[in-house]
Amino acid sequence: MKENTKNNIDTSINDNIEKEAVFGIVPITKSKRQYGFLDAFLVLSGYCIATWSYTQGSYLTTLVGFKQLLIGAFLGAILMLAIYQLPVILSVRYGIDIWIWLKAVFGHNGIKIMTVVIILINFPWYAVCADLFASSMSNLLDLGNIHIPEYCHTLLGLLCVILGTFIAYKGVGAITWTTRILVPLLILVGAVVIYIGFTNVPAEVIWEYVPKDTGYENNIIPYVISIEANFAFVITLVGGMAEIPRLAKTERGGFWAGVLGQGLTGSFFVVIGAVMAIAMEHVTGQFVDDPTLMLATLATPALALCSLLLVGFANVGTQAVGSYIYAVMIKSSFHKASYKLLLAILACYVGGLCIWGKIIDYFGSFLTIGACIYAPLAALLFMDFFLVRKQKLSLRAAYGLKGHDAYRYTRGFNLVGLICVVAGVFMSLAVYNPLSGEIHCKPLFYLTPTGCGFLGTGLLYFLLNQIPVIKAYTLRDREDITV
Amino acid sequence: MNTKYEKLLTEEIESKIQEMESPSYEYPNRFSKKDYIFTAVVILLCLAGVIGGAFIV
Repeated sequence: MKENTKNNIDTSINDNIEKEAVFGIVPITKSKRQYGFLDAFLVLSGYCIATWSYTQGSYLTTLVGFKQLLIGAFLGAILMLAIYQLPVILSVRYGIDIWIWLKAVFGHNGIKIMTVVIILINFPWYAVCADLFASSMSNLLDLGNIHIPEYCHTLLGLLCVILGTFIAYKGVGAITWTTRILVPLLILVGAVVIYIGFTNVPAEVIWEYVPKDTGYENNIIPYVISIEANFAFVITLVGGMAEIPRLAKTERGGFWAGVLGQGLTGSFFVVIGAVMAIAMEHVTGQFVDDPTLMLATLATPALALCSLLLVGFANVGTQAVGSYIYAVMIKSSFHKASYKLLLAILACYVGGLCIWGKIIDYFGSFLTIGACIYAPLAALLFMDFFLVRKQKLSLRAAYGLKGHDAYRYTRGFNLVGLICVVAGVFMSLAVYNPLSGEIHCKPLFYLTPTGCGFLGTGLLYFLLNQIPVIKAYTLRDREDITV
Repeated sequence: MNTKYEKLLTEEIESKIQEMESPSYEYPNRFSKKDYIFTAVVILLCLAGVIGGAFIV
């Protein structure tokens, strides 16, 4: 009896997720649009803040002074966002996710490969999240004079993954509630961090901050790396950039909500992380890039206790929302896979990264490696929408409706799009090695590896599509365009 | 796609596409020429700021 009830619940969760994954892709027509600019901006602001923003802020203080950090975090972020998010207007126009349009770029099977690749490079963010949870719990225990051995850090990280996965397993209801709690929680943590930062150090200390040793003789190199970090940080949103804008009432509102949600709100939280790192260095004389240690050190014990608990819960919530979103994303490409199995695979992947334990040490490398893939993806979408397909898509072919096979290409793969992605990755790596930090081509490095990958891939895709035989291959949908 | 929702989904997508194909369907307000110009100005200002930032100590 008990077993039957459990099986029924499992089936119900799986059914609901299946409905969400399958029906979530249907075009949203104008009468169903919910968001004006302000609504979309607020929702996207919530989507763009997470505790890892503090890790990004701390990382930037190792490279540049506070003024340059502000320029990179706001102007650098908005520059990249305003360019790569421009195709979001297609999502508003047709009420579809960019992943539907990308079926034209990669083919119906090619898009499955890209989905898996994107998840592989994006999910390490959740190992950052688990690491922050472990740090917050370790620091909480330290406050209570309970000192735990090093290996417990890994176990606490795994606990975050397990708790987050469990909430995600409970399905969309649990996730809705988690989101409702998570966003105010993150804003509250941000407010606490600002208060602690500015009560511990005079404002001019923060304003005049410059790092003592960046490890580079030439100041321009760390500045370019910081701009790259900002480009890489914001371009990670490319996969999910259309989820909210496709519900927007105007193309202008949908576009600017995305740009400003990350470019202003998201960047503000990056700057808060930087303020905290600078305050920590000023007070203790030591550079620490762990925001939870900063909270434990700089705040009064009671405030530290509360804020560390908030950080802990926020990370579990972020883990849960991430597991849910990505499991649904995979399920929309691989319909037969069970939701439970997908959650387990994601948990094992992020759990493995926790056990490896070096994701924070390789934070900059991880950012740039991710951007090596995201930049070509964003470039292809941009070029395909504006200059190749000229804002026209066969919706029936994109959805794979019977008799509409324009996007089947070569056994489901658009070889042109896939070759361009691979070429784009090599272009980024040819400029800069994100693991060793070695610069291979200084003139192109000034464009940043992400910028090079974006420009190079876009140009290659555009030029290839000027060759008649390739143009005919890519634009086989022209007879099937109806909207 | 081999799920039990396949037929329903196809019908739903077809109906939405037909709705958009209808001459009476009103698309959301388009990104206008002014919007493109404004966006280009924002991009150029940010680019100038980022380049200028390299010379700030």
